[in-house]
Amino acid sequence: MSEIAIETRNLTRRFGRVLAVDDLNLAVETGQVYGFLGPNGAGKTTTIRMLLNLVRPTHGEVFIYGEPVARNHGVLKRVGAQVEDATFYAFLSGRRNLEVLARISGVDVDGRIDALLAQAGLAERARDRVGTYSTGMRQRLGLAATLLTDPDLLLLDEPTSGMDPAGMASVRDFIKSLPAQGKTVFLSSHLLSEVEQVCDRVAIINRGRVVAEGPVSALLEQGGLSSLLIEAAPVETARAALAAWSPVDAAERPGWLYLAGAADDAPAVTQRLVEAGVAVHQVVRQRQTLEAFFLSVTGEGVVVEGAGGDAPGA
Amino acid sequence: MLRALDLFGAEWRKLWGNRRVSGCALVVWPVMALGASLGLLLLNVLEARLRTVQLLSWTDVALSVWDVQSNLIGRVAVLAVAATLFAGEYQWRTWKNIVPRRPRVQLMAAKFAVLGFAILLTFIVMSVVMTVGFGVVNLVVGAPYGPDPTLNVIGDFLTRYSIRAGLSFVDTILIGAVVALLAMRARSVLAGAFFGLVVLLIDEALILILGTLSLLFNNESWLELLRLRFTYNLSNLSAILQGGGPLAPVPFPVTMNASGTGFTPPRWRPTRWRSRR
Repeated sequence: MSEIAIETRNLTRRFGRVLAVDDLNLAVETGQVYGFLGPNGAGKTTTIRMLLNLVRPTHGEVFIYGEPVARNHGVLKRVGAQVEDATFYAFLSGRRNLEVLARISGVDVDGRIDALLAQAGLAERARDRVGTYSTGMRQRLGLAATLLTDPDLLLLDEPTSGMDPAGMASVRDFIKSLPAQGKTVFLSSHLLSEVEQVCDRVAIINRGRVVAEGPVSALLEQGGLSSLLIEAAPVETARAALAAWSPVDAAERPGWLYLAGAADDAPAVTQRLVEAGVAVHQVVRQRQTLEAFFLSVTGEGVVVEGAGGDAPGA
Repeated sequence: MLRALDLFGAEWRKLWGNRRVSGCALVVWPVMALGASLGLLLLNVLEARLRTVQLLSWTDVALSVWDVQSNLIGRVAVLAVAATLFAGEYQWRTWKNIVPRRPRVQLMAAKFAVLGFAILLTFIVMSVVMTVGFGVVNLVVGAPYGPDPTLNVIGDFLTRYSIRAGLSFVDTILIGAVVALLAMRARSVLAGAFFGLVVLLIDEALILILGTLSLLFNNESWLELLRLRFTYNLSNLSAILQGGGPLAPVPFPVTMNASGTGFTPPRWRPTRWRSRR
């Protein structure tokens, strides 16, 4: 059985009358990339701050590698974290910022700093003041700072915020490579497609409580929302032929029909259309996205995706 | 120990790397000493009559720097540095980067140490610049700049200098503690420095306030409250360490309590109050 990297027990935080985090119980195993999702104000950042002992819980406890964080600050040496946006001393250079953080951490990392700066693509700007960096550059410097002590556990809050697409892709690849090195990642992100691509398991919180938790693949299969998108002509004949599946017009796609929950029926649907003399141009099995699932469990409504699918059915 | 030095080094780099603060609050003092020396030299060269007033000794010049540090203007440097050290992390939102890396107590201790040593270093450099600068002036105009540096003179000077520097360090830490509380509460460098200045002004104004109360209530024991001023306590400590004995809290006679412990709580005298009205 894997070691538990993060465990929260009945974690609760109240700010006056506002219950920011309510009885949160999480267990993140080592070697996982764990996604942590929730709408704005759901309690994500408060939770991350409690994990790092930046905020004391009103009730409950946080354990990192089995050690209670509130009573054993030393266990945070195994953690690298970036909370919210990457902030630095704007009057110091990128390199000097990392040197300062290394000294505060009490580790000798002089040789490592150059390597991290190069990895972050900041080698040429290392001696410039951070005040002159773009948002994306600061984010990359934030990731370098997170890795400064070669931590076992990384807590990343919106790590690709402000990055260009190439930067985002390289960060995603980098995160995916971490479990192979025995590292655990706790990733909070608003970019659900990003989470879907890199996480093994996710927890979705809303109003301070976990509303869904589990492996990404299992969550996406929940609710039976997997669907078929069909392009056929004439569309009215197709609609009549598929009456058993209650087809509806696909939003933003004239001439297409949407069959909710029919992803596994692609062969039968295609056969029925052919028998009805309908010209079938495309049948697309549409997998539910994490975004659709997220919106459904957080009460924000269900999105019917009009594009993209994992495999054509016929 | 090495890890503590690492932490000190980190705070030290942050402070001196912040050129705006280190320049305006620290580097400015030795620069002013250099300016004063050059100004004095220029005046002496231009105006021969000034040459007759070169009566300063190098020991007095060196020690006079600590008077600058302990007055209100000198303490503004402490306010600025302390507010930057303690509120800066909140203002720049860098506190969340450092708190997980070290226990808060160690982070605070390092900030206090850097504050104390930065102020100490600044004024030591200022005293060296001023002592040498004034020496050059005296050399140029041919005035004496005694006393001769015999072993006794140097020993006595170093003792007095160490005491003044030590007291300055304590003074800095005390003011730093006040500013740290205010700055961390306000989470703003400017607000921390401003409220710190208000506290210092109140400390200075207490003589006037308590003197007025003493006159109003016709009760000199109000003045005994001046013993609670940290400025008085530092002056008192300075006087004791330099062999002069304890100071009275105010430069005029006050009623001392019988035990001689120095503090008599103020007493409310309603009869006198009414009779005066």
